[in-house]
Amino acid sequence: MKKDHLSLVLFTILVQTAVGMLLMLGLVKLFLKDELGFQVVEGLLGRGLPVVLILLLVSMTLSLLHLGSPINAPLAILNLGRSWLSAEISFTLFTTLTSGCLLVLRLFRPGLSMINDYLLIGSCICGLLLIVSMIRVYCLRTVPSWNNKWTWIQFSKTTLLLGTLAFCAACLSGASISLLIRPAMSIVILMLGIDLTQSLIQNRNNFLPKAGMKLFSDSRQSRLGIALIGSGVIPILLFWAGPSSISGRITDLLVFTALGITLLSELKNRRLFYLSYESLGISVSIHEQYQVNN
Amino acid sequence: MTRVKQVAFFFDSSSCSGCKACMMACRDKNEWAGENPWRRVYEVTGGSWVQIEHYWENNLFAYHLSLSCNHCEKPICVEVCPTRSMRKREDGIVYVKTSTCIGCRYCEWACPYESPQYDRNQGKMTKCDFCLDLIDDDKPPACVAACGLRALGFGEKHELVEKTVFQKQFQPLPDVEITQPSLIVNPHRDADPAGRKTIQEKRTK
Repeated sequence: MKKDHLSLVLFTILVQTAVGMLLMLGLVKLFLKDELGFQVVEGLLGRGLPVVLILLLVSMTLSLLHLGSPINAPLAILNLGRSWLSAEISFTLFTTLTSGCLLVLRLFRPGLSMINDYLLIGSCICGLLLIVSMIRVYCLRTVPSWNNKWTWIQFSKTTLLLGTLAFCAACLSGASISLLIRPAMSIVILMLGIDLTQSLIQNRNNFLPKAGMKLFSDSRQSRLGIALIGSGVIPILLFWAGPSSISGRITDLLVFTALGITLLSELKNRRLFYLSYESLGISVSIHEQYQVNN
Repeated sequence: MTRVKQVAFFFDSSSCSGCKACMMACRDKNEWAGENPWRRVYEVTGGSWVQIEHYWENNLFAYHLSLSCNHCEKPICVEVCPTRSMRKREDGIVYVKTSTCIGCRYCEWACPYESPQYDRNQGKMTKCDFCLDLIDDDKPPACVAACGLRALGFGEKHELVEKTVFQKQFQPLPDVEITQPSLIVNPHRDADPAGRKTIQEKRTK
């Protein structure tokens, strides 16, 4: 794997985790305010928003590492009308700015609940647009191995999977655990199902040169093993045990372990995604010819 | 109706010997590093042994392709560049404005002809600019001037298309409809598509 790709792997994974977490906070604030109560929801936002902001700032810093001339980075928003990369960078900035404003307002002007709500909705919309533009960046018409529905599924799944686990790890405690741990684990288990389905189907019809297939197949199997533990076994245990039967500390430990293992699995998966780059160019034609003539 | 101006390269695959003089002339003129070839010469080979009744015959073939930036009519590098550093002039030449390039290498991913080349020393993208300075002085690009067999040429795209036995699809290049490259190819006899003709088909020609 090229060194330049490592920063992109980290950038995409961390941004997706941050947006997933932001969406979870938005959903809880807008739809579960009455069930959970004002204090609990405010507590969740107070713990979650700083983590979202830190993740976004770290990922933006990491994204600079793959640039040859990072000093020109502010110019990357100039082609907003045509380039999805420009849109992705702009929406990363908008999401960070709106989340930052929300955090500052909550700290210094906590009474402005209406503005806070609008800012949270605004950051969630910016986050969604950020994920869409990130997916479109990779859906290049000249790169068939990326320009397909699997890129949409994979990026959306990572957003929900890591976002939910990060939300549980950073925010849930006390009363909120009893109400939210089971719905959250349901989302995680559902995402694992999508991950397994994608891996099984995509492995059969992937647009890859034959020589690379074995490497991909072996790496995929080891990654799926990790994913099964992080987003399968532990979340099922948490769902089955529920909030009352195991102590809070053990629940925290299990949630953090699940997040760590799932993060590792998603990093491996994203690395495989970058390795699967195959342009509809000369190299592919030569592979085709190699197959025809041998 | 006035036609949009678009310069294009002409490449005669049937007369190219693969000497790489075009590549060397481009390197001398533009001083690119060895790992960033603006112009490349590919050798396309194929074929195998074929049984015809009681004996075997081969249908092996080899031909060359000299390729640089094709200054496409729909250049995907210009479309995807986040800083608008990839630009297309009025005469259709696609070039990089290096002062604003951030070196994100997105154009390198997108281009199906591997034209944009990343210069690690500068941290920016570089590519064939059709020898802009020479073109502006009404001189041919360095690669065209260096071709001893006159396999490389250049001119107005529509004029070249009218004069040439123009083949839209040329192995091993991708479908021309994707970016509409300004490369007019007089194909080698084995290049339609390479390696897929049977020996019987060749004989009936």
